[in-house]
Amino acid sequence: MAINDYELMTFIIFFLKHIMYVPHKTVTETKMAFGLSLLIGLTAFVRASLFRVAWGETIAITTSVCVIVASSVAIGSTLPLCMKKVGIDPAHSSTTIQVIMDILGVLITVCVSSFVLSFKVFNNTNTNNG
Amino acid sequence: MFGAHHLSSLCMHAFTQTFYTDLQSQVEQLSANQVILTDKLLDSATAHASIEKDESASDFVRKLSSPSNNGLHRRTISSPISSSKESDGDTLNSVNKQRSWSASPKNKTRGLKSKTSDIDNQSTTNNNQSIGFDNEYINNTFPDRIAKNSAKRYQPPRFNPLSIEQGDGTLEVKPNDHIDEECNNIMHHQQQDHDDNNSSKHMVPGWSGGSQSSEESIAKIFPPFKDQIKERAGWLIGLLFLQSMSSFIIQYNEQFLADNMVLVQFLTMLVGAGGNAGNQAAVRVIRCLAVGTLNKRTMKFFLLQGKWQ
Repeated sequence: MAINDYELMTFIIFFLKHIMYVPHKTVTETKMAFGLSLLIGLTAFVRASLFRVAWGETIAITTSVCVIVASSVAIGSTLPLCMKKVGIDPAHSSTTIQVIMDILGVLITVCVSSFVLSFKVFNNTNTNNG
Repeated sequence: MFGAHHLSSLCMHAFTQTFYTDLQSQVEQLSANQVILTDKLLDSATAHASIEKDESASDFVRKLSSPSNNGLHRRTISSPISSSKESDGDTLNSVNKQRSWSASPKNKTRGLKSKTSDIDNQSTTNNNQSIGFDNEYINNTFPDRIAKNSAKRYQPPRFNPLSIEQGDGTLEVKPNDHIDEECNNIMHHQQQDHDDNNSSKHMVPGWSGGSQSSEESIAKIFPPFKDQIKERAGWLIGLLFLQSMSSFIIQYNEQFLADNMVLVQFLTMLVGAGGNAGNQAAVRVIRCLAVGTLNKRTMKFFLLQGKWQ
């Protein structure tokens, strides 16, 4: 009555497929946010590592870029709808999202980079740059 | 392996459950669009019935195909135009050619019930017969019980937009003189629906259904300099004050940024990337709102990815 590991793996794969199943021609903003954050983080990492920035700062910049882009796409896709619901003209949401993300970007950069650079691995590079 | 048997049975149960929910959602979408039956549903139902001989599966498909479940009530409406396809010309025949998906190519209207009614008597018809397939034709062509049931329920949709539904289930068709008036009425109603759906004070400023004069609508689309500069400068000044709040954050973390000057060099890049990404997403949504593709009907699809509707 017991089933093989192979059968169990097939069941698990089937379940994963059904969980991940998304119909065609749909706009998935969360998925898009994660994909964009990964791509932009990769480019930021390449740029910072090409110009020989210290490793601690490189990692801090890439992680903060990922967080910033993901949050900005999430906020930017929902802000016009919220503004329309409240009764404000949604045409102003593009400027509003810019300002909000400027403030949030500085905040996220400081928080994330202070967290990343607090590890002892990157202490040497800190003293060199400072 | 402890409990492997239970796990496998549970997996099979979930397999069937997910399959049926997919099928059910498909049928719900069809009924929402008032499409009574399509080839796809019929094919899937017959294929499923031929593959799995399970009792519960066939019961489920029968439950899906029953008219009381999905609101697919059988309509006994018949219009003279749709019934007089033999004498009315080529357009109706071409329409029937598209719709008679299982009729033989030799005789286009072999399986369909033919009705005889005069074209001259265009005012009202009291025929309550249904347009569909004959029982003999169904019994000859379809081997499966489920396919027979679904073919019995099939009716070609009515394609006369100017017909008016009477109380007793019949249709009244107006003569050709009133077509222009009806078209104007339909256009007016569509425009009203558009205005109601969008509730568009802000979205489309000049869109008012043609009731206003042209000068007023132009003044709404392109407002004068005074009104524009008030709104725009107010927004920009407010946002400038809001943006200057980031100086407090930098002031608070001055020591940290002075220790790591590389972060200050890259700060514009980080902030600009966030602004660009948010701007892109916002502008896409704004365009969808303005064009009208993102309305009440598609909002759930947009927010919940169309999965849990």
